Amino acid sequence: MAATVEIDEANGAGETLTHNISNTNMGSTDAVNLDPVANPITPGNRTYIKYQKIHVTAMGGSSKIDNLKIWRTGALGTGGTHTHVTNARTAAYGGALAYATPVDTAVSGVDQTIPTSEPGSANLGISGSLSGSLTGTGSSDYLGHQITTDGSATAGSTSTMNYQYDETA
Amino acid sequence: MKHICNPCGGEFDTEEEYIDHTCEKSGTTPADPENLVKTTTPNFFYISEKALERGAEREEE
Repeated sequence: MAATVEIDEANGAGETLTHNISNTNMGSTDAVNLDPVANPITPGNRTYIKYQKIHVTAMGGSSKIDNLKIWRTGALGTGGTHTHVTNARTAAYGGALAYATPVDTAVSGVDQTIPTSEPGSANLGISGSLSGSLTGTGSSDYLGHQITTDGSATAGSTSTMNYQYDETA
Repeated sequence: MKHICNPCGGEFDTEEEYIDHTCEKSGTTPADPENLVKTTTPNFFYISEKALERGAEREEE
């Protein structure tokens, strides 16, 4: 047996938490598993921020989950300069990101360009610390991430979010 | 906070109730790795194996 680990996303003013999400599509509305075609981003605007976390629903006999790493692979799109920003970072981590109703404007602390390859060390914390760990059921800090576009952006891009953890038997 | 099971749409008042429920899509609870395999993450056992390998490597260091 091994730990069971899912990705969750929070939405709405009341922090509704959807467990075991299917995708992390980004767009112009605050919704889980959103349809990006129906909710496109107007060039020059930001997507709504995503608040997601890594959730251990069972340890399965393992003793520890830690070393959480988040990165994105694939291009963000053409026609302009776009940035995918996050609170995840390997240094000067700002502690656990507090949930707030998702917005399509800048969010304090969510300003680090998300890595495009595996970071050398943890960049998402547990209990506010990059060296934190889970020894039972529980969740990581919130991962906040948002894409910013400029006025020259053209429609459509697909990239992959990577969520990684280490598990000690 | 309301908890929703993405695969089956079930709604729960607490995380414990969510983890204990049997998902109508998978026939298992969210605590069972098969729940992930049958719903959103068909390669979960491979992901889990790699996570254990990384953990073992760090233990040896």
